[in-house]
Amino acid sequence: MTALAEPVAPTEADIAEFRHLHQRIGDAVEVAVHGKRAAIDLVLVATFAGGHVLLEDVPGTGKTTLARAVARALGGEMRRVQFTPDLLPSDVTGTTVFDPRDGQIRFRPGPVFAHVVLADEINRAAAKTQSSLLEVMEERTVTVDGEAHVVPSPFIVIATQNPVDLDGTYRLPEAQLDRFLVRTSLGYPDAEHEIDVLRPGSSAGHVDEVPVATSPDEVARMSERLVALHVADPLLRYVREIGVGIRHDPRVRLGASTRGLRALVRCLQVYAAAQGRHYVVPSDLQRLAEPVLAHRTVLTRDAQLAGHTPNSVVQEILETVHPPQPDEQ
Amino acid sequence: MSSTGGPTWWHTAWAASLVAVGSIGMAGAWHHWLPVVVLVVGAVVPMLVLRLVIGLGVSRWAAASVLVLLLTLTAYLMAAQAGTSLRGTLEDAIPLLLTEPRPYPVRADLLVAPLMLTALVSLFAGLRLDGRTRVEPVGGAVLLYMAGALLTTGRSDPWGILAGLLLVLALLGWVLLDEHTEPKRQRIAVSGPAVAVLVGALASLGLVPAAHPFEPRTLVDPPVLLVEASSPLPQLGAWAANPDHELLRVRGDAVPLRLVTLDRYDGSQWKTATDYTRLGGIGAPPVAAGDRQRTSTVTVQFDGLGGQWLPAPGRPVSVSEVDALVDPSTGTLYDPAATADTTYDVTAVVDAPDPADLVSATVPASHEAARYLRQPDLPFDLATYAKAVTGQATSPYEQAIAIETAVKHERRLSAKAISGSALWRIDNFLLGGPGRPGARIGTSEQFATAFALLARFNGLPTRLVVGFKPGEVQADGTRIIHGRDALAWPEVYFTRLGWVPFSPTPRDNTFTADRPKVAHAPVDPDPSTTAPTTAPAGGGAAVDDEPRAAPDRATAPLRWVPWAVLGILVLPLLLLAAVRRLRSLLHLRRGPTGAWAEVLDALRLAGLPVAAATTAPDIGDRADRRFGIAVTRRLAERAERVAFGPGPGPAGRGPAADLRVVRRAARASLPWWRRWWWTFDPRVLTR
Repeated sequence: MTALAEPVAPTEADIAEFRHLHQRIGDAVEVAVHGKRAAIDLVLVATFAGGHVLLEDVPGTGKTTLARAVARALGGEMRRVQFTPDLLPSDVTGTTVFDPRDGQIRFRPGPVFAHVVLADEINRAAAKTQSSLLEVMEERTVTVDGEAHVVPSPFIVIATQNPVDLDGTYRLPEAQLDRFLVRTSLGYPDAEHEIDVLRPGSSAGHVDEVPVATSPDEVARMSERLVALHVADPLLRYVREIGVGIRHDPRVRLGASTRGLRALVRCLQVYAAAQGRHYVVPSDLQRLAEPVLAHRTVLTRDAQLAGHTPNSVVQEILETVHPPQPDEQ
Repeated sequence: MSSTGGPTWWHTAWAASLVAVGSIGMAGAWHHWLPVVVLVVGAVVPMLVLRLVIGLGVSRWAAASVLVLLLTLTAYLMAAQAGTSLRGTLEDAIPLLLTEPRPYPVRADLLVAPLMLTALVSLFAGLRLDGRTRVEPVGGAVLLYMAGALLTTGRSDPWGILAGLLLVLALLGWVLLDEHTEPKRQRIAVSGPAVAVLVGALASLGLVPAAHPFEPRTLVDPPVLLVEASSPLPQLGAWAANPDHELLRVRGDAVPLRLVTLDRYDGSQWKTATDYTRLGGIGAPPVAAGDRQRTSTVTVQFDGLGGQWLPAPGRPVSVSEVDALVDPSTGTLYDPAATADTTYDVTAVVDAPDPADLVSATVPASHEAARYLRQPDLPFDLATYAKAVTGQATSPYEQAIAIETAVKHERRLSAKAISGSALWRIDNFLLGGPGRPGARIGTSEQFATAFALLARFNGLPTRLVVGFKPGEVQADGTRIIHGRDALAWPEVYFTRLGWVPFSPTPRDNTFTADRPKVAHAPVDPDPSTTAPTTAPAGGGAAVDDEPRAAPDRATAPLRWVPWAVLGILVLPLLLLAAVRRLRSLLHLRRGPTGAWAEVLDALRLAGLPVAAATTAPDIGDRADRRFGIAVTRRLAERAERVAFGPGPGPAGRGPAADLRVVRRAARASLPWWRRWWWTFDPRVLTR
């Protein structure tokens, strides 16, 4: 029996390098997406944490632009899938075709075989097509005709969906929502940035002007190092208390799973490193709890009718759970 | 009053104020500041300590039990200081308080019971602050107020000010502190008129004269000391035989001093009073005092007098001798502890009627004056003489003047005369012919006794006084009373005028001043030395109804009380400061995380609330904004680095300097009058 190798904690230099890299990618994305640095950072956290992002907002707020800009800044291959009701699973994952030239049956990769996959308006596709993303998002492999095909690394799915105009859409099942590490929204920019976007000649929306800031290999390398970033036991207890608080809330029908809490810890590591720290602090959790846990929280019917939302419930739980204080350690 | 939440310090302050105000009524029985302080401390400190200890998480009943034990220990120490046992002090508390003369002397044994009652009420009210209803502080305050009213017969709050204050405090608690569902504005609307009506009703009740207020002292017989002492009358001869012998040194009003007043004559002698009690008791003379009285205060120093009688310028109202006893019927002072050099201050009152009223004055015919008329039947010759003496007089006063003149007439004052007051001696003195012993010669004893017998025979209530003339004035203002100043004189009681002295002794003009023209002109008037005063109509009461609290030595044994009170106040402060200091030291030993604990303490003391879900850097940001500094967040981040980071924190400058900046800024944010409390404030102990 072979013991797992003990991961090596990132050094101060590693943290500084990552912080610089994170800053550099964020600056690059901001060339096309103005005034949304928080959302950009969140997407990058999910990227370096090895997760996927669900951007949920009304049309015209820059969801697709953000996804494309991130993909370009990361320097990897990017594919876009426009989800429609008649989209088939094989249109996403790929299929086997007969090659008349040599009489062989070959696998023809779908658009998921890229470093960054932009799943645009994912809720417009049928549930069967949405589910085709399940395996590849979790297992990072596509199985066709019994043969597994590995997607490139790093692999990130950035999906968008429109929360309004729901006619002819298919609500994402909870199991699939759990596959997304982060769900966030962009919202309209503030006055200053919106005027900047409106100004003729602005670079906003010009994804082609986004510089390539890194490479897929560098992203994979940095992501690997951050796995061992220190998370103190009080913080782990704090994470669990919040998760338990959500689960036990009478308004909640289904709370965050252990996988969800684990994803949160992973995000905390990346976020702390992005702040230049080699340790996690309670405020990191307060910043990330809502985008990581809210979409994994399902409310009861009564709570929904009473006007509660998963985001508001998570926020209320955050305000009631006492964070660990330095003087208590 | 009902409540749904836990008590705050406002509730505690409100309850302590109620109990303190209620206890002040009892302190009114002392006429001294010290009992006020002791009872207020007893009302406030137990409750504050109890709430503080409960706030620290100690079981409320355990805390109350410990405090009751401490209270019992305090009572034990006070009783020991007074030389009594705790059990005896508590068992005798009610009789002692109801028989001790008012105002009470400041003695530990008298203070124990009121202090215990106040402190127990304070503890009970403090315990019940957690309850659904908070009527206990009001009930406790009313209980203490009623106890004070009983102790002082209502004199502690004659105008109802304390009652009004209690009422206002109770309503304020209901309006501002109680938690009801109705809006506060509605409570204010109700309580405003209620305060006006109730305070008005109290003020109206205060104006209603209480003809016969309930006096609980009537339920208890005061302790009486039986003194069997012989009359000093025989000594008059001895004093007269040594005219230059110094008896007393006196400073103060130049008035005659009374040594003993005698009102019982059995045919052979005048008898002194036997029943003595503490000065200020409820005993009263059999007949009412006159409408007009004058007050005299003198300082008397024994020189060669000796004995246990204390001379006084009238009916004493206060005396500095703590052991002095008084015969309520005559005002005679007796001190079983008197020594050859006893010195004391005494204030007394005597009747000072308007001379113009004497001519038409009457004498009482009621049974009250019977004791002053009682005497054996006079021998026939003496009775005939008594009738003849007053044959021409048309009023009691003229009768008295006639007797006075007759007794003086053709009789000689001699120090060598035979002493005695027996009937045969007086018969010889008045009617004896040449050759009979003591015929027409006597000391003031015979002159005064002869007057008294003739006056009583003619229906004039009369008594005898043995005392001294004012004495000889010295260069330093004092007066020396010699043996030649010793004198016995009779006094006749007139209705509404009181006791009027007469001077039947030859060459004595002590009491002839301001006499009406029907009588002999006064010889040695000295009205400037005294100040006549008018007593209340319907009289019986003296000028100083509540005698002044003498600067007596009773306070001397209780000098420890201020120190004890000071200790009770200072020791908790020192204890709090020590606990706080220890807490700081333990914090600072932990480095940055301990420094952050100190920051949180400082914020707590500065009144900066910290929400439960706030992280350390957010708290630091808030504090920096509030205090205008930029180090609190840095302290928070350093603390988080040590608490949540791997391994020890980075080496470098310690957090002490930044912590000092935070502390100084937080303390400076307080009002100046609250900053002194910073070092002792125990609120951080509950954080």
